[in-house]
Amino acid sequence: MNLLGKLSLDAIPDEPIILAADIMMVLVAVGLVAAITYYGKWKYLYDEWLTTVDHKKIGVMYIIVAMVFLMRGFIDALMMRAQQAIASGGSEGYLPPHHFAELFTGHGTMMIFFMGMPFLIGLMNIAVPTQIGARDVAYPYLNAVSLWLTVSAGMLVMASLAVGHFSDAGWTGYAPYSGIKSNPGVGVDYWIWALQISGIGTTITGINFFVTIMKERAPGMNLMRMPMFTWTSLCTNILMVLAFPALTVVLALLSLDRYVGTHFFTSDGGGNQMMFVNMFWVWGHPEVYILILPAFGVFSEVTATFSNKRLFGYASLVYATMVIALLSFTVWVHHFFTMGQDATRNSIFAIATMIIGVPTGVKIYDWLFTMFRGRIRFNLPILWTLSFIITFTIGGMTGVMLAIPGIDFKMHNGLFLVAHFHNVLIPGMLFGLFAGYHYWFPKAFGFCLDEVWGRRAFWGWTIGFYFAFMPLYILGLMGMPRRMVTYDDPAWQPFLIVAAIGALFVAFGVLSLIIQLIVSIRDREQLKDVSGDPWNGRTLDWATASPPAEYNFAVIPEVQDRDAWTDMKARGVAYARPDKYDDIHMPKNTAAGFILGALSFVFGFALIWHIWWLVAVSGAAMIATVIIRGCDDDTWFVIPADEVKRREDKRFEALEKAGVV
Amino acid sequence: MLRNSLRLFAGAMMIGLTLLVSGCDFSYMSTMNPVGPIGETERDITLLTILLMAFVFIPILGMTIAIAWRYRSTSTNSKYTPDWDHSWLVELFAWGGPIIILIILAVMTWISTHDLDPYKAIDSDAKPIRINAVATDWKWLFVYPEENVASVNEFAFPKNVPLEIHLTSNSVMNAFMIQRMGTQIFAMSGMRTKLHLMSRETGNFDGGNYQYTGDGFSKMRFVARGMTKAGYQQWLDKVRAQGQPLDMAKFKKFAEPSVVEDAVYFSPVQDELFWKVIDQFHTPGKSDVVHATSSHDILPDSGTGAEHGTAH
Repeated sequence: MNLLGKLSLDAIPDEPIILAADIMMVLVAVGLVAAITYYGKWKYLYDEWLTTVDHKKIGVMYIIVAMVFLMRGFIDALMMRAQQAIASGGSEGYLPPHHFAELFTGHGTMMIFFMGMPFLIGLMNIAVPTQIGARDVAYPYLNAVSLWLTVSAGMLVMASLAVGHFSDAGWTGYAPYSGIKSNPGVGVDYWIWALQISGIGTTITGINFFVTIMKERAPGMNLMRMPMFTWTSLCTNILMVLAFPALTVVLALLSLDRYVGTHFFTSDGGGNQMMFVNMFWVWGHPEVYILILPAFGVFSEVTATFSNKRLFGYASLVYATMVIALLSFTVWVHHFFTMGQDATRNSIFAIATMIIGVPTGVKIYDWLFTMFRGRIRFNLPILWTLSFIITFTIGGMTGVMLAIPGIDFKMHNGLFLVAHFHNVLIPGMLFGLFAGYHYWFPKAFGFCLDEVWGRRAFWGWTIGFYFAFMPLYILGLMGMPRRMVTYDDPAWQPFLIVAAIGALFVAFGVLSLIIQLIVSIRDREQLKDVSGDPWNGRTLDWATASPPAEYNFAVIPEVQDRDAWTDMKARGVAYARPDKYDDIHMPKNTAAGFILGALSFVFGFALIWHIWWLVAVSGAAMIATVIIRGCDDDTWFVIPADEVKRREDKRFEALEKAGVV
Repeated sequence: MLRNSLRLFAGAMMIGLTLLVSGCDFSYMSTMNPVGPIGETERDITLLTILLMAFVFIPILGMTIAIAWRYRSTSTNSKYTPDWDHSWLVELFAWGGPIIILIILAVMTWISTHDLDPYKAIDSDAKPIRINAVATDWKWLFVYPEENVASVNEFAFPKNVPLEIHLTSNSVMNAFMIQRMGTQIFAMSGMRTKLHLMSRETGNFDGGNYQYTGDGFSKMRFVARGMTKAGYQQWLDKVRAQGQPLDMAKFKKFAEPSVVEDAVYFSPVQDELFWKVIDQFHTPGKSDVVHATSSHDILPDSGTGAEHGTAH
């Protein structure tokens, strides 16, 4: 028996580009370890971050993960744009087909699962508990488990770059191409286990935040007084819990096909490849709304805050969000109108798809009427919002077009489709996440982000977006399929060159984001926010210190209005000192989440490479960790009232000094 | 700052718009320059939808820019109502407007989708020609069962004659489309899908596979040749003259992963080759497919509708 399964030295890639990337990755890792050792920060890292169960720190770590994968996913995009810009009329470009396929697979997988999901879950972690006046999430330990499962899944994707290769089956991994017969390598297995592990983390997050929002709200905050971001997060969590099991099952069946020779999705043996497509999109379409709804929540918060005005049509927005969440489960067939269903079936799913345009349109009007007769301050978050409204509306229009089977018949699998989903996800999700990042950064760190570099990032992304994706619409109309490594039609090339230039604008935007962070950390004293409320916010998250104390609220506030914090400011009870403080119970830190994450990485890696003894060992160790942690009754500690008073006095001292009170 | 920002923003919009408008000459857009009835209907609903959507987009674009400009915090003479958060009139407009457009679109969708059903035969006096398309890694085999010939990566047909195309795949999932004729459809192993097309013009039209299938995917293109009746007969004669015989054994060899640059011809072609390709994926005896008679009309279609059979 081979102790290393399928793993051997052959797994080290020999392609120079990949090898260079591997060396870079190893150097960065070594550099990080060296820096932490040099500055003696291992204990700090362990105590304050690796073992934390504090939702704010977990949120920050989620967003760090998202940023890392934003860079990687974007480098993939740049490489693809470069390849397609040159690989015309006989030129092979600089990438072999299988490498190009790994790029488009990796780009999609990383941007959805390891950029979008961690980013929005990170924002939820930072904002939701404070928005509802809670001290933590319902299950702090599970929150840490979710984070470390996501990180370990991301590390598996990273590992595929250096050991073996990633999937080339597209981020949707359609069977039978992703089956063992067409894809005997480890690539699809990396894809499967990265998605399974992060998917379990996401499902747990969904349960955790659903319970948090339902059970942990401050007194007086009934459902119709919840901030909009909390509402959209609630809907996203419901979707996560209901939709992710479909992905878990479809991936489990595919892995049975690949590992034990069953025939769920194979061409032969009674398998049904259409069932893969069907089940994948039963998860996949709600996933679109999982990604986009939290961003809609951010836009709602931002529009009201920076217009200095109550959110217009709150009830409408709540119902629209709920309707979108519900309808998201009724439209999945529009991803495969071309699979041979009859016309009635296609029509029904087409019309269901268009119906989603109604609540989405309502949201756009409600945001516009929130700004109407407001006093709009043009800080960065509202710029992202304005760019979103205009750009996303174009994406919505092409979405309605693609919802019509007669148009989809021509556009399916083409660049029009690629342009469309980038046109909804970049403004709809990413711009919202960036707005949220800028909006809540001072809450998480106590200082604001630099606006100048923020604006540069904004223009890079906005202008870059139009240059990069408008040509793709035209190429779609010209009949260019997606995922082509080379092409013969010379008429396509000029458009692909424009798209590549667009990608360079976006690259400037990405660089500006990095510089913005560095500049902001350098200038943190000037950018400092003592008030905890730098934007004249309206919801309870701005009632806490920035960064909030680990218990968020020394005394849980009473909510009397939808815009609870604005209302408290108006009644003159904002920053009011309570008469007395009570002891606060808080969850203890635990290493169990981190250990589970590390073990799941080993477990996934062993499964991918068929190292069965290691699968058994790491699997048993995971179960043992869960049991040991489950038997630990000593998971809480008390912050005594005196200690709370001491900390709060310090905060009020600073507030007085800054003239806030 | 703001003025500059808006100006830049407007500039970016103009560039996007220019790119869109430059698309108004449709001749270079294969999917908008149809040669047959299916493609024509598809182009028409595309244009109609764009126009309808413009009624949604232009007001939103105008309102966004106007509102953002008018109610900027530096302009203190505009009205400010910080607590105004509800208006039945606006709500009626916000929900009602999209619903009206939705109803128009829904009616159009229902009618056009039934019109364009790829399984529906095209109305014509001419007798349809049957072509069986088999996707292999990474080339298309087109079998003309009535003519007993087959060609690779060359899809020839006479104009003004409806084509009844049956599709399957010898490997993974593929998608067949000739952009200027319209409608894409999947080709899947062990199954048959159907597509009806027709061209009113002669000429060479690009076609290809649209579903990623591996290393040779980008080269899996073919040319569709619309011919006159006489031209088509000559083409058939040529294929018969130049073609090699094709049976299942030879097909299996041919179907091994490769890319074919030039057209290849086969003649004669083994009877029922198309069904033999499909049957490879079904285990005899314990098949999930009803295979009682020689009639293949009840054989596995991908569709689940009544007319399409429910063998799977």
